[in-house]
Amino acid sequence: MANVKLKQVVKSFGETKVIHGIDLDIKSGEFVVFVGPSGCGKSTLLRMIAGLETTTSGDIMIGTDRVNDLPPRSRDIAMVFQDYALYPHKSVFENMAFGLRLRKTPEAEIKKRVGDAAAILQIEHLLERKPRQLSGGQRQRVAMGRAIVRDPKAFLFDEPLSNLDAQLRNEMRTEIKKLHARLGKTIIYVTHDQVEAMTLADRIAVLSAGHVMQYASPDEIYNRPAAKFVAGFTGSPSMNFAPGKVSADGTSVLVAGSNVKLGYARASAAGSDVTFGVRPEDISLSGENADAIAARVVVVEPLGAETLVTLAIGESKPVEMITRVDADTKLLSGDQVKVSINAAKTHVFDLKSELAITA
Amino acid sequence: MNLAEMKTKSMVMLAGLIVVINGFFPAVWIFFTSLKTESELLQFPITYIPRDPTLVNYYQAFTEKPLHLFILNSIIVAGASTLITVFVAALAAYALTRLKMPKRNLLMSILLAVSMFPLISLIVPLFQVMREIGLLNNYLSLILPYTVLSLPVCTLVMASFFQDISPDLEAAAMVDGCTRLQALFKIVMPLAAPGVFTAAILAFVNAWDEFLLALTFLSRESMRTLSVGVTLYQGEFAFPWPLISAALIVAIVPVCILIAIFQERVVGGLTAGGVKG
Repeated sequence: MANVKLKQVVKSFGETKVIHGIDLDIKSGEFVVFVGPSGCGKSTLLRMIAGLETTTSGDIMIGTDRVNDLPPRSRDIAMVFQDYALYPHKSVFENMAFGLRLRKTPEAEIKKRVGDAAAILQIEHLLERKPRQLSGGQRQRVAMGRAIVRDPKAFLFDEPLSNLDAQLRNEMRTEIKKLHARLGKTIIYVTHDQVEAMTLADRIAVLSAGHVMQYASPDEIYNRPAAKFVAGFTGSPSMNFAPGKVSADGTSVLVAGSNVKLGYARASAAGSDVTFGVRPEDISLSGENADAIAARVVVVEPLGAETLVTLAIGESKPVEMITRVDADTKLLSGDQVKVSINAAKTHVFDLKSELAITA
Repeated sequence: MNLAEMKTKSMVMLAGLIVVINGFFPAVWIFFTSLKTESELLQFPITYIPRDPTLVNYYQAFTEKPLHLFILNSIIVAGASTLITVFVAALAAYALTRLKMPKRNLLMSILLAVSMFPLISLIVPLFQVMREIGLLNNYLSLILPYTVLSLPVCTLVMASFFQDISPDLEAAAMVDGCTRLQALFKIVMPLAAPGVFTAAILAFVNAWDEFLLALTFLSRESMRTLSVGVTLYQGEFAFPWPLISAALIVAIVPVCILIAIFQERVVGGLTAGGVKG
């Protein structure tokens, strides 16, 4: 087990810089997820940690060793790939044993380790098969088995579930979480799926265009996003945004002609134009309370357990926002309602830098 | 099946038949000739199928000339040049398909252009070089040029097979503990087996059949290869066709056996299941 540290890590392809000086500290045994949209550099960063991409500048440390100049085989890491990358000409057993054979592990030890890993992943009955005889989920288990048997310092997962169908993805996600609890190893996991990131991670690094926008716990990322990008990337549906103007005393924001109270004053932005943000679950349909804002129902989308309602909120120039309501709440498009916004869960972002304004 | 489809199918089958007959007729004719006596061969009307098949021509082929030596020389020259060609072409093809190299397409085009060089234009300079470095009547005088001549085509063949193999497989192998070369030889080459065997067969057949360089560089009789050795059976005035045919069959058979053995390996589908899809 080992911690992984990135210090001012830069990657350029020719003139194009794709990773812009990233600093990250991943503790030993921690489950860290790199999340971000396609092309944000998350997979490149993972491949740099694995040694499959060179590092243009900066330091990558695994444990106490600087590994920049070490080939992948000397970094003592294991990796699970998006397209499984099982050796098609080898049986499941040989796929899992390959790394051990290269390390000249005694045959008895190989059998034991492969057997143990296969038992954990419930693939003992598949050991003699070739990869082409396996389903997608089974192949992914074998790929994980191949990683486990080596007992490496850290596991790297590169979008391992993105080729699986929705149901299998949920199952495997739970399996991976169980596996982490069981092995207690450092895991670095890349995904573009924010649900995977939120459910699996101890800490999430949200990447955008080669920068880490925020590196924090899922709770922190969700409830205190450091930037509009982070706020918009997490949650489904994502956070509602609307242009607003902070009041002179900084305690409220004028959104679509209505005054929305903030959880705490943003004195630094008093009187400025900002982007106001609130999550769907923090807008509720309310009776005639004092702070209620008039809204019109635009679209109703029942999901079974709950219903998503798109509202046109505000009196002058209404803005559209999505809220979640109980499945029992019956609404029709065109209904006039009153909504209230949970002041404690409101967010304010700078118009230019798009960073959260917190004071 | 409608009329148009039937028409297309019969046209395709006819074309296939023509190709097969065109390819097989000379070989079958030579085989029948090798089983005839000289007198039967010269008879009129001609007999297509030997009336009294005899193996005496095969016996004479080995006793009149050192045919066994010709075979051995051919095996040494073709075998060695095939091994070297496959090894070097694998490395070159791997570099061309995997490494980020500038002007890759230009390099591939040059390779293609080089493979089209007419052999006859090389023979004089090559002869001078071989004489200078004292390689005449040495196997190397054929092994080296055969390797060089087969390399471009073999590299292109292997490169096209390597291209279809997911780079993630090598990445996985390198994370598992392979060096880049181990990843090539333990993972990529077995998966590209059809390509490797195709390249190997091309190189072997090229070397086995080559005549011009073999005639020029190996002049000592005991060093002759099969393609040249077969021509030594003709006398100044005599043309013993049955004997020459027997020697020719002996020259063809090893290549046929080789292709028959490896043909099974030259099938796709080996990479199925390793990656998504």
